Amino acid sequence: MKTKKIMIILWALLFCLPVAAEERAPLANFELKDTPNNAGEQVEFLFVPAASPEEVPEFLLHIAIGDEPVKERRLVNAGKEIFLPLITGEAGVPVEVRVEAVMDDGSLKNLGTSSLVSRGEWLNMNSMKAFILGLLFIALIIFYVGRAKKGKDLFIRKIPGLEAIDDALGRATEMGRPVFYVPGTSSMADVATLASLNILRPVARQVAKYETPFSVPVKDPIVVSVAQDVVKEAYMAAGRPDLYDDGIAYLASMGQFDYSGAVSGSMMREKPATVFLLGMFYAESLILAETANSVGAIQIAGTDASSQLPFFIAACDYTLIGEELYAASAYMSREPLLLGTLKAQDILKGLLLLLFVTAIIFQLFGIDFVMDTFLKPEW
Amino acid sequence: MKRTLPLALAFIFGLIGIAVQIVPALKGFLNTMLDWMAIIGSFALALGVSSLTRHHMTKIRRKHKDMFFSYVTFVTMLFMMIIGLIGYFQPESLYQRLFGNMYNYVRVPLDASMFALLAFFITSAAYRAFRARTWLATVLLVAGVVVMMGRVAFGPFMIFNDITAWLMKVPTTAAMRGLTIGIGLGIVATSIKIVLGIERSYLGGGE
Amino acid sequence: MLFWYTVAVLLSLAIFSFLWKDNPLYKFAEHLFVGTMVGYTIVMVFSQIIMRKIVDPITLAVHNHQYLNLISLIIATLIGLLYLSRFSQKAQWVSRYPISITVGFWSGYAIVTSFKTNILTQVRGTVVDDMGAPLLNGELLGDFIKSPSWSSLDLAVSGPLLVFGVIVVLIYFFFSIKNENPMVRFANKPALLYLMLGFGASFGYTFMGRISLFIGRMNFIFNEWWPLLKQTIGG
Repeated sequence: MKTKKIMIILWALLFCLPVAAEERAPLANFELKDTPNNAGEQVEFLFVPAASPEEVPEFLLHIAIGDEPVKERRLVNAGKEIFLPLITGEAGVPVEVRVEAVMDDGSLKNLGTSSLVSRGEWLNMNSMKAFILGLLFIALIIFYVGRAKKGKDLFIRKIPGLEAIDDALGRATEMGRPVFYVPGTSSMADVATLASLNILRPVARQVAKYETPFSVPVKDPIVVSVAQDVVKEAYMAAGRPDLYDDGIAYLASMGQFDYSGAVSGSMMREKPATVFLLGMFYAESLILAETANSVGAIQIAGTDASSQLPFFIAACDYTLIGEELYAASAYMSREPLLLGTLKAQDILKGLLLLLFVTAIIFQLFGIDFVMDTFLKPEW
Repeated sequence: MKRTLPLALAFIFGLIGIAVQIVPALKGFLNTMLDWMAIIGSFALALGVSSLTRHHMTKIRRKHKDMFFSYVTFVTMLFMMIIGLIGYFQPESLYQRLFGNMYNYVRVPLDASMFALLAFFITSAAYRAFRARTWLATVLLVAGVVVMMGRVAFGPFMIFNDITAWLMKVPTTAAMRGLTIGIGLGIVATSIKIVLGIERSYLGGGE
Repeated sequence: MLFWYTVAVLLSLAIFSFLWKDNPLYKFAEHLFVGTMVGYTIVMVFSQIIMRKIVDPITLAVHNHQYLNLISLIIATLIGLLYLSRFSQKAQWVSRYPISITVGFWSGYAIVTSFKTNILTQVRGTVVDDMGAPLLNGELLGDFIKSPSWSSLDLAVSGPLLVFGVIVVLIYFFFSIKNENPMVRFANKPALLYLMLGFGASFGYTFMGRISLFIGRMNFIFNEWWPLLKQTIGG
């Protein structure tokens, strides 16, 4: 942006110098420009007054956008450049701005017109960084998946919440009490829900093997269908399709608190020995966790909702914190494909950490280069 | 057809999901896609309602001791649905007013009361955290108590207010930020796995 | 009015009775709640999506001869209808199509938003503050040494402590590094300290808000319903 302004000013100055010798300098320089990295819904008008406020106190703009009636706009000459965004709404709209100078005696002097047609870009250059980072990520995944497939052992540290799953399921079997699995209270639009459904599979398989009663109350209709598929396939994989029933995963209700009311009620009545609370949660998290505790269930919770983590930490026996939820599916399945992505994720995190530390060090010396090149959040 | 096409669809629509955000010229298309998602999702409601109905029908068929309450759910569901739908086509009618009253005096107080139960649950959770005797639980509890006091502090206790502000500004922000960045990476990794077809549990898993 | 207010109060009390134990009153309220909410959702989906996003736009598109729009709407509707294949044992797998479309789209969508909001914005916010000043600032430390006071100490150490916290928490969540690794060993304790301080503080912060929810319900019973009841019976 800055360079653009400087360019215009320089250009203006260059233009002014030789002309000034013969005639008078132009009273103002202006240009209509296409706004970069947008869909053409806006263009910008850059205006640099060259005359002094005494000479030209005001400028008058006649702005014509598409078929709309021409609008007039007065700009007070404060000797400063003015940046004016003009909304076109979409690409392909012709825009014309005619500028007149209002002289100190009130007379008008035409300074000319600038026009263009709004344009949408195919690539948002600002988002290319994220795109490149994404490609790097994919390359890392492919690399590590290849290594894992070749049989190279990829180490994964212990995650206590996941280590506890087997014992918790065994406990339910010994006590002859059911297992509850709540896959969060959000929809498929939340990746946390998908992460939870990934954990549901190994859990359901184990439950089927142990012949433990199982219940998966769900809040979202699409999640119900997916959960039913996951549980069904898990029961088949465990060799117990006879135990499967479409009612294992069911829609308990559709709103936040009616759902938590219904699930808490079921917990009170069926007294599960183990309760999983994995996925996206909102304020209802504590209702579910505390009710599970009051019936003496072991609770294994996990969410990426940082606002709900404190409650799970305080109320539950085991909590998967944030990204541990996402690592769980690789951790439990030990599939090379998934382990490879986990390793790639760690490497990317390492790179990000490195970038972050470099940016800090550069900042310390007042150099913005790393910041501005890699860490700009504007898109 | 059963497995390849769904994976291909996930891949194509994954790319669309990325493209509508990074290609400015497709910005208008984003709204179309969001509408698509709403339209497609709305049909799943039928599955949800049938699942709920099945759940309660099973209770009734098995003569479960709570079967009466399953009837309560059916009756209110049908009642809400009927008055709501008639009310939609006859605005300003008695049906619409009844629907409004059911919303305001049945749904809203039930919602608010369930939410208010949290006052008790948060107390019991705090009490249990108090009994745990690890250094981590102690840190959690001390920070919690300080902030609770900080929010109601007055007079000589105003020091708690300052400590609260600092706790929220420095350690809490640091912890949440570290978590958020890690979660972001987890989300991106999981999403890439899904778009590339590496993670396919949502199709039931298996091969 | 009194009738509906009384209904509201009785239902609230029925919900609160859950704290004592599971009982028929709670069961009634719970099942009533589910029925109401599901019925309400059906009406909302009908009016807000079926009518507003399918029927009305299709009528409009036909009327205005916007065939591209019409085709788009019809395709979306047909894909949605595929969900109903679940009601048939044989064609059940067809419902995977709308599921993969939904899952695929939201996953792709999440990649960009998480990169932007979860990662880049947060990392940037840890290098510089909202005003663009670096969080690690040697000058502030100098200020503290020159004129030591609580506030200058706060200014000097808060930034560095924040940066340190973010780094150790990030290291804590590395999955593929062994616990014996010196970097992980070093980061472990401080990371847990930061996390627990953060969780505790958030817990305490929310505590008062939750208590006031209950006070709000009591307010409704004693300050709205009770006066209304007295007035109606008395007058």
